[in-house]
Amino acid sequence: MQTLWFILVGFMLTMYVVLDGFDLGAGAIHLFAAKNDEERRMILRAIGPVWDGNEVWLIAAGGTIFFTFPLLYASSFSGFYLPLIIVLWLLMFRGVSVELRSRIANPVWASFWDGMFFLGSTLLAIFFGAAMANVIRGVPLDKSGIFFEALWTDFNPFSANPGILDWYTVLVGLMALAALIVHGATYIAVKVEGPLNARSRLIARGALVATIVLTILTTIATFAVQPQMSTNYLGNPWGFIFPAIALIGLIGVGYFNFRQRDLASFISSCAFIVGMLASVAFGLYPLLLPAVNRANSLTIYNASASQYALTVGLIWWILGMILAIIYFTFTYRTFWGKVSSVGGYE
Amino acid sequence: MDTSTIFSRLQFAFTISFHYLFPQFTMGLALLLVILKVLYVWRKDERYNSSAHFWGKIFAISFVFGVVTGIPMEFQFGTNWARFSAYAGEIIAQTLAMEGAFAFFLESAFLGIFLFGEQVFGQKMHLFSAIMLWLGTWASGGFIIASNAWMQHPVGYTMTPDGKLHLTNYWAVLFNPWIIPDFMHAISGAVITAAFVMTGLGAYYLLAKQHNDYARIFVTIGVIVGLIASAFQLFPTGDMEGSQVTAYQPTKLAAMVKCSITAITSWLGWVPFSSPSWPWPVSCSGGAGSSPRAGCTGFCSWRSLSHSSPISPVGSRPNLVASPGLPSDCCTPSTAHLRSSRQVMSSLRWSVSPVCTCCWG
Repeated sequence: MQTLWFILVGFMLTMYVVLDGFDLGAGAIHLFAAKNDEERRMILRAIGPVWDGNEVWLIAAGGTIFFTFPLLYASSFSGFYLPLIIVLWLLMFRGVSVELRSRIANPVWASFWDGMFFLGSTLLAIFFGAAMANVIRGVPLDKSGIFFEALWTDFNPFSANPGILDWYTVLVGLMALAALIVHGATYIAVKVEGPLNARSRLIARGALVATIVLTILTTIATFAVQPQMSTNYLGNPWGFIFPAIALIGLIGVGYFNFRQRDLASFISSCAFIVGMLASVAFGLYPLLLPAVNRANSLTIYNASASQYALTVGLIWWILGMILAIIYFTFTYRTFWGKVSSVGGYE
Repeated sequence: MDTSTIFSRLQFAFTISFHYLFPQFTMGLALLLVILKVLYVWRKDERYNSSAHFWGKIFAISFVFGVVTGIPMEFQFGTNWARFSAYAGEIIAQTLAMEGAFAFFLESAFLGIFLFGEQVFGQKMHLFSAIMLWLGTWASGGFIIASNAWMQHPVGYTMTPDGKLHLTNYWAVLFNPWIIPDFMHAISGAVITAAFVMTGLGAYYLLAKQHNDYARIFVTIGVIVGLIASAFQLFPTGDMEGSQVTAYQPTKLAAMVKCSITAITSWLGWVPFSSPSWPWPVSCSGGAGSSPRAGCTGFCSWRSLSHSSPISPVGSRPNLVASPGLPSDCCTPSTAHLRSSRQVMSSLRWSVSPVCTCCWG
């Protein structure tokens, strides 16, 4: 049951990254891809009907972790107090900037919120990458499952008292930014036409090169930082299927980009993200939050709720997810196709 | 209390109060949007549809503020109240996560359709999306109140000898008797808020002699809905809520009464409670009674009084001592069944609780 919930929580977080990932990526590039106010609005219209639904996956995943692995929720959220508060501010500014930018017809006002949207999206991509890297690397948990991490200490991932930011987590953060820029740029290319489409393709191509380089570096570093990775992969070689999905996705993004098949390129980018996150989850299992002192690590067994709670949770969770997938299919079908130049955010 | 606890409380109190401004408004406005859309479909008067568009924009912006201020609230259960989360997460997070799965997805999907899909789908779908949006916001309120109701009136759990809390009866938590009065009272409050906002804007336009047609619609709908909801707020929901507090949380009642009376009398320039004749040592300013150490032995003895509702020692019981001053809330000290001043003293600690959740979450 715990293993099942490990997979389901992983599924929800992956859904969040795949869906909110493209609007984060779109936010990170919209200042460079769009050359005028009309094009910026087109980008906002491309993500407008879906971005807050995408963000719901984060809230739903948070709630699910809360009741399935209460100790993980408590330990990680209090230990990551500082970066989480930063993330919250960024989420807030990013969310309101989409809604507020076009409410007052003033170039300074619009530019300010454009800047906030860019800053929020870019830093969130980096912070989410760094957060994942912190989980992979491990945190200084004590016996009672409590820890606190400073924003930075000695920038050394092998130290006994690591900080949120060290060379490893920053590397993964940059990799996440590059991957989400690819994701966002391929999405924008699907949704718009004309010069904006061409520029998005160009940005996707440039970010793809950065993603490839950073992926190679982070993969090497991850196996060095977290020994559980090699144990899992060498013990169960079938797990190499996940990195293989990521690799195929990465190749697909580039191939379809040059063939100008935007949708296929975007789907490849989804496959890359799913493959990467599944690889990390497979490599960490059964750890949820590794500790610097391995004996104190939180696993799916010592952090989980009771069997009864996990069982009743599973029943309504399945029902809720079926409904959520119906809504999402419906919404995305509704807003399928290129965005027009009229509609919301006038 | 140490400084970090004080700051944690202040931070959470601010987060939750600021957050609630928005869902309170949107829960009420969702109903008004449905009313406007139904009137449009029924009477085919374009003004109702334009009004729905106008308030739809205000709804959207308030909804987004509600979402982005709601995420910090969920996160702060973990960041600020980690011990509580590890202790009770298995139970209260069931309903929190259900809110995400059943209400948030629904709301966000149909908000997108409501705002962006009218031309594509036509009027029936637009009305349908308004109704789904309304159901979604109210379901969301219901689930969060279910979480809060458990904190007010814990049911369906067991405690293992090592002090861990476990869920034993899911249906008991979901159908906690505390939920119904709480939910209806909160919802009618939300409808009042939105109705008054609509009335207020309409009244402004009327006085300013602008948009007269629309102003009349806003004032008419706002006043009618606001009047019904106000009556409903007093009776039966306010009364039910008051009886519930009287029966299960006499301390909270005592604090409400004392605070209301203190507020009124001190405003009149007369402070009656410095005299020793006042039997209930309830402090509104959280002075002597707010020391957690002082309360611990008292709490245990309070439990040993075998109160009709055994309250678990959840580390952060929320209370809101901010009643709107309803008759049922403030005029019934005689029914408080305050067994002894010791009981009040010992349970006082909970009335100045660490998580100052308002009673409707």
